[in-house]
Amino acid sequence: MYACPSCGGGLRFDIPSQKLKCDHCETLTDPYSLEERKDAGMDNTFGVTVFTCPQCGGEVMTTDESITGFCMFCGASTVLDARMENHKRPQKIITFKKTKEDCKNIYRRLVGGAIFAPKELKDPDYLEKFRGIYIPYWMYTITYDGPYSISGTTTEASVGYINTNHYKIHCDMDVEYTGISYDASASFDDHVSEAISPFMSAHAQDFTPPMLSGFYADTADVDSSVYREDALKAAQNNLIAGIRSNNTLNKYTMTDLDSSFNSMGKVECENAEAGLGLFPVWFLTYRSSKNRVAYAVVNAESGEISADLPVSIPKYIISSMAVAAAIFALLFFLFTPTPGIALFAAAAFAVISLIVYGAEIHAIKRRHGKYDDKGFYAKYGALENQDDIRRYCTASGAVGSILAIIAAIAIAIWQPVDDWIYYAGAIGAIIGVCITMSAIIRRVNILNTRPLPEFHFRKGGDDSAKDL
Amino acid sequence: MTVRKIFKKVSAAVIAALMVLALTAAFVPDRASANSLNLVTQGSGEASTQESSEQASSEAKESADSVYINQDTSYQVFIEDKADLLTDEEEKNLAARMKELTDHGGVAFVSATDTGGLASKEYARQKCYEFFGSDSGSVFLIDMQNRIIYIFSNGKIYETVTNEKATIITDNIYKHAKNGDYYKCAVSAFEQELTLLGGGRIARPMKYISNALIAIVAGLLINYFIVRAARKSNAKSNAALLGAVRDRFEINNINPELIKTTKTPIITSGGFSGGSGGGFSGGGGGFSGGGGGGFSGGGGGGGHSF
Ligand SMILES: [Zn+2]
Ligand SMILES: [Zn+2]
Repeated sequence: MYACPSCGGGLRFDIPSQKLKCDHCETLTDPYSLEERKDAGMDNTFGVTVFTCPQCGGEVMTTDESITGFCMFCGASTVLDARMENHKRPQKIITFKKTKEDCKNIYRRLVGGAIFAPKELKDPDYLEKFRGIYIPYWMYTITYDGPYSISGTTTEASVGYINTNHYKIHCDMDVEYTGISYDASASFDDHVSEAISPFMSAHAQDFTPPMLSGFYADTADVDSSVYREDALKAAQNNLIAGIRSNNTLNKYTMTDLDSSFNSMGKVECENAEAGLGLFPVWFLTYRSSKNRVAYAVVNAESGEISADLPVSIPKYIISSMAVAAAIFALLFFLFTPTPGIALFAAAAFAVISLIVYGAEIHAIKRRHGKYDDKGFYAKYGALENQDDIRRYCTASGAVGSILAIIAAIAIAIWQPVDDWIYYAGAIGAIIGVCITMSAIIRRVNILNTRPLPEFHFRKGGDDSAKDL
Repeated sequence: MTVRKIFKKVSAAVIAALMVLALTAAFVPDRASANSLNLVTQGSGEASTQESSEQASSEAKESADSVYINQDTSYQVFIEDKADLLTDEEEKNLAARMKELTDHGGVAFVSATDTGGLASKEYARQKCYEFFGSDSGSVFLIDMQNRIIYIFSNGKIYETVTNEKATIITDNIYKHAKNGDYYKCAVSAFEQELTLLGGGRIARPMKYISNALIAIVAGLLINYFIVRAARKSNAKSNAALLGAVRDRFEINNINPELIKTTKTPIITSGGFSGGSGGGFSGGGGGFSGGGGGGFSGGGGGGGHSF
């Protein structure tokens, strides 16, 4: 906790003024004036208080040991374990630009349109739990500097022939990308960080610890090498696009540009350096069930939002029934189903529900396998939620619709004369579809929430090994 | 209560409700007994072709007893029980019920063991014209040869007892025929016609049940797609991510060094084939379009006119 130079009261970072503000006398203080500059560079660390959630093992750090209360990862209201630690000092920081009030408004706008969201999500008390947290990002600087050569061709038609001129195009490149950023926290989902991107890393300021006052910061636990290739690739793609649209170069046909950058290494990255930056987000956790959480994350620089919106089953069923009533009324006037049509409609719904079910399972596999969260993968290696996949990615939910289709086909082949067989088949098939639909909605909710984080198990793996 | 518990309860309730619906639907008495007899139920149609009228008059010589004439409307009641399905007592009682319909048109009960090779619908149509000409009338046929019950109506009655309504009535009563209770079957047929003609409604439970189920599933699916649409795609293009951070981008001293020049002869046939190929395929399209259109469109007319 930093003390006010005038009265000794506690200082907090004040978003509108972008300075530290005293709790008591409201004096504004420049954050850079507060840090006792030890020998700069002697030690690239700074002292923080690290809070650990006893329930899930999630960790956040702050310079402001007075703020505790509940865990932002799992939503548990519990006293967090605190310990002092020295951490790698970030080079850069983007300070909070959106106030909590801004953030709540952004969130309200989103949730207001989400008709199936549980009403708790709109509760003002719940919104009060929005919490400011800095997410660590690796900021890569990539330069292409010096002479390069590119292969290119031009063609011209002459009488009876097409002449192809092959060139080696020499040029001097002076290209620099700074702050290509990837989130350096394994606990912060790459999808979320992508969804709320971009942060204008060009606007990042030099970091000084007092800026953290009143906020949390997530720890950087992914090595900077993890995203190096991604950063290079991103820079390379942009470079290639730039070369293709260059006014002088664009008259050449450069077919092997992509492959040559990769395989031939004609353009090499001379330098890829990562720096650590802290980027601001507002973070909100909703415990949607015993072992599921939903996060809402707002980019506190741009206001970009990403929120998990679980579907409230009662709301879903009520509004489905409302839609059903409207459709029923419509059918009443327009449509008298013959038994065959009723059966056909049931079978068609069964097919649609099967397709939807398959799509949901595929999405769950991707999401929960974390196949595409590089930071997580690098840190924890194995897939996290095999349990989830075992539990939700099975064919069991599809059985209803599959039986429905089999029954419909059997009746269609059999072609019984009696109507009631068609009706019974249609009704049975529709019950089957309803069963599959309920399985689908359950999976939608799996997809719209996250498993309760279990950082204990993952981080504790080494400790327990030591205990033995 | 957690969302999961609520979900379990609600979905269990929904499934239970659906099962009750299904069971009631499957075991409503008028359905449950239908198992062995192949009774096809059909609606009626209004038609006044010359042939059927002629056929009707040619068969008019067969026994057709008018058992009642309404003095006000002069509409008559006919009972022609060739299959001998009803006792004399039942015929008398049935006639008494049928009288009430003569306010709206002629009514006939017909049973047959031999329709002379005619489909039930045609046979019923024939009888209708035989008894009532092109006047308002309704025939209820029990065709024992084809094992079909059929209601054929014409004129004013047909405006109310439409094809759909006739189908609903026969759907509702065919169980009686199946059970051999032809009297009850006939009485119910005329009672339901009378209900309709008196402005009432007759129930068709299966229509509502299957419509309701279709609507429920459609509602669930539609809402799913609404949820799905709200799940916004967060993928952003690489360029957008990078645009913010491209500090410097200069390519200077561009100096193309000519390495070699290769000559590719222009193959004229290649050019030709390209050109004519395009032309040809365009023509082909035109041809197939024209040919296909002409063929399929004129298929009926054209084929017959030659
Ligand atoms: Zn003060
Ligand atoms: Zn926790």
